[in-house]
Amino acid sequence: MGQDGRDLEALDDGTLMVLFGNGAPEAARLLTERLLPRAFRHAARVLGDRDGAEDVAQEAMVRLWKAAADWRKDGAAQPATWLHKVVANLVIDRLRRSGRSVEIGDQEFADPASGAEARLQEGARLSALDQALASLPERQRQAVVLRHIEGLSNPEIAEVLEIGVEAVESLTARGKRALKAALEGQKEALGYDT
Amino acid sequence: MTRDTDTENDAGLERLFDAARDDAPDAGLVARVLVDAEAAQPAQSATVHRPVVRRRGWLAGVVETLGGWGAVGGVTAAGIMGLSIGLYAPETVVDWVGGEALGVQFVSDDFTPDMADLWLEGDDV
Repeated sequence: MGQDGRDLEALDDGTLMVLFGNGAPEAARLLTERLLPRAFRHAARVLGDRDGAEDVAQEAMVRLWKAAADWRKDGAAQPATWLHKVVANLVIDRLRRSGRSVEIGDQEFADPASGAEARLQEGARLSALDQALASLPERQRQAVVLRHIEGLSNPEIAEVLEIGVEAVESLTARGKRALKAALEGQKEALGYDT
Repeated sequence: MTRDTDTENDAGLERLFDAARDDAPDAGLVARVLVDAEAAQPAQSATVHRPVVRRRGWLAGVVETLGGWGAVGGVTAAGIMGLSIGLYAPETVVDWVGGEALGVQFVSDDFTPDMADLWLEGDDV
């Protein structure tokens, strides 16, 4: 990476969006590095479907690139929050189109060819988490993912889901309780005692 | 649910959240997103490198008119020499050039009229 790349790394996402809109190629790489994992994780946990999550994340990033041309650095929206909002809507559309609001991904997240025990365990954990998340109503699921996996604040989640902050607090609290209940009995399988 | 069990469940859930935070998109998706970015990105606005135009001072104009600093050096040397010839006594100047310059023998009397001749007109002062 050249000097320009190192200089850009110090910039916030909003500034990188403006630079991307002005044609700076290095901004695309940095924004992808920072934001694509968020979009992918959000979609993967809510959909419980890795392929679907990839489609949603890619589509959300396309919309981000298109929005960059008119992005205002001094605007209220943060690129990460904006992107989560797009992902939230895309996953809702996808769930509704497929006629399911709850469906677990029984897909193996671990690569069977890898044979690595740690990876298998991580895959098992993700699979169990997705199954437990899938038992939650859609809004609770999104709120729990955004709060506990993506680390968004309650006001940010309220913005993403277009609801009040109090509703977010209620959703995350109830969602976490439901998750714990759903995972009860799987302690050994998930390595709780390790 | 006891407090210990609750804490244990919290820790277990946190472990699952950690695993979820480590879940990353694969290289194929990253590559596709970067291709999309390239297609969507406007061409980089060309940076116009305008020549830096500095205001020229009056001295620079004079120097240029005279043919540059090399020429100015020659003019300056000639000026100093001329001034010296005017200031110093003829004998001194003749001494500088060893009595000859360009094959011409300088005779001081030939160059400098006797001041007395200027003051005298018809033997009158």
